[in-house]
Amino acid sequence: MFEQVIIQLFNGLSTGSIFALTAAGLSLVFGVMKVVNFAHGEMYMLGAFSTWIGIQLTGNMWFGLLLGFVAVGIIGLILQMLTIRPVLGRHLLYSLLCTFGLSLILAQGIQAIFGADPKPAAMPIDARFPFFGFAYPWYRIVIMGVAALTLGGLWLFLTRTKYGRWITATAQDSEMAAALGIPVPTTYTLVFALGAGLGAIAGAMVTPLYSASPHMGSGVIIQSFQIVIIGGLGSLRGSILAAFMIAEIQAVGSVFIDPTQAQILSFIFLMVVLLIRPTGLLEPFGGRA
Amino acid sequence: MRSISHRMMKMRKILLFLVIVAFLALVPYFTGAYYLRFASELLIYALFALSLDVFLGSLGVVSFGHVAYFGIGAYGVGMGIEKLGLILWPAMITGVLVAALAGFIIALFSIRVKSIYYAILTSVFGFAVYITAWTWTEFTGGENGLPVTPPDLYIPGLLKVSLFNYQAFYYFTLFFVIVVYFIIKRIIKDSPWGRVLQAIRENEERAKFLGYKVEFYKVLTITLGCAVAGLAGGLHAIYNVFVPANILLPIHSGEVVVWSVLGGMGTLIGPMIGAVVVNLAQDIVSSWTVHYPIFLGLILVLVVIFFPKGIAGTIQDIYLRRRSSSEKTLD
Repeated sequence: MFEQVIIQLFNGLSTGSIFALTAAGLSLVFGVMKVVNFAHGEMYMLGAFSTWIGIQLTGNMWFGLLLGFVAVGIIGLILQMLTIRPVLGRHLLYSLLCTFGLSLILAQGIQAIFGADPKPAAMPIDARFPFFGFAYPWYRIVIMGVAALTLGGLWLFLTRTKYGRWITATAQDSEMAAALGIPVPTTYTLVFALGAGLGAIAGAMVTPLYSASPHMGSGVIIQSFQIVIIGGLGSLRGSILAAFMIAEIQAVGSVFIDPTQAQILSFIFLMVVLLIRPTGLLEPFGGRA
Repeated sequence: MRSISHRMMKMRKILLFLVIVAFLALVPYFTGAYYLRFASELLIYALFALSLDVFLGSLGVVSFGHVAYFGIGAYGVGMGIEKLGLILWPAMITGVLVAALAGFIIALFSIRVKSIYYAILTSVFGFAVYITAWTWTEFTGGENGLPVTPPDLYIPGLLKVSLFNYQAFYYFTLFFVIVVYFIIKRIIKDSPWGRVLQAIRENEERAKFLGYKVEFYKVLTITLGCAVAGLAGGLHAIYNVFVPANILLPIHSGEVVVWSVLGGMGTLIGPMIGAVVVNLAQDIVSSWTVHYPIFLGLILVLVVIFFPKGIAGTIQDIYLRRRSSSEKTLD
């Protein structure tokens, strides 16, 4: 029992890394442009498919990951310009509805092209190391590393580079940012692309674990919603914190009860957080609006 | 002059309504069994769409987990008949009450958050209900579903007919659609309750300072919407003679949102029209492709960008513009 709990704690860290990457993308987009991207799960799915395609082409998963980040970023860029930009000035509901429509189109579109059956991929690193009487896959450690690198890179980008500062300034006060000469519409497009790219990296990393399938995004988006509500919608640090909390609850919970029921446990956690702090655990990125 | 035109408008509305009801009442006389069943299904979906609009229109919050209450109502009726051995009316009441209770509990949590959070929070709750139904197999039948025997519609001294009879079921459903539509319309558009809702929608802070219990009215309205969704679900359980766990799939919550947006959010009649239009179109589209969600998504994106007021809202706009321009020429 004890060993199982330790193993699951570690598994929670690696799934938490994936959750954190996904939720960070969602939260970043909301924090800056006040758009809830319902199609974020599909960015994750497209990341997984790009990785699968990358592996088919070169046999190298890291090429697939890079391809996913770039391709999905470009897709996000185009989708933002075509469908989000026209509804940006309106009630928040319209951009949510728009992205929900996109999620339906993308998931079913990919199914129409590639078929409904999952596309498996081999782990790039097969090695395992002994850990509490269990051969633990190195790949799960790699996932944590990639997530840490990506989120660290995001933090550096947002605080140390010109475009990152544009984004931070727009999140804090878009009118003031515009007055200071920051091209706010371009920043919005950039943020949407970046958020999509983060989702794609998460999708890429899980391809060897869960395979790529057209409707994999629908569960992920619910999971991410749950995380960003707990962490505080628009709060990057809150999302990352909540991602690990949810992942650990589900991972350790499944030692004692059925994994699906462990998911219900995490919903109960959400309700408790709502009772105590209805606006989530931490302040949004760039301050509370 | 104005009062005459006002009365004429009312007369025209009543006339239009009578024509629609007459048409709906005659449907069984010019359709075969297949399309009569389909018409019943459309009526159920129209009722479901109406239930979302109860609070979508009046509170301006959209639920992305609304199928939860439809499903809970379906299980309530199904279980009332199968497990408790109830006859029709007590079973229907059970379904509605269970859905209302679930809606009430979840509303207590979800009104704590503002509009956009509400949408994503309800999608999470909707998913939680789906997972629960899926895993709680001894109660819901899980993947295998719950078979339901259609009960008899029995009115002492008047009639006794099995609801397995397509025609009887069609009229049974039509009765609910018309009655519930008028009750909801009365409550939302023309009652003290409705006026408080309007005050909340226009300025929540002010309504609060004027002494209205804003939270109370919000919870009450959401509960009402969930009760109607439960009624629609209960009808569907009898219609379908079966409640599958799939009924709770999150995609169905999205579908009812698409119907509402296309029909015109907040107009009550619009979402009902939207439900009929989308399902008719879906029937045609799905006969030549299995990928109709693409078509659903396209409708949503295009309507949101180009016709955010939907069918009913756009018609209303055209009508009002014409009237105001004709009044101008009179002056």
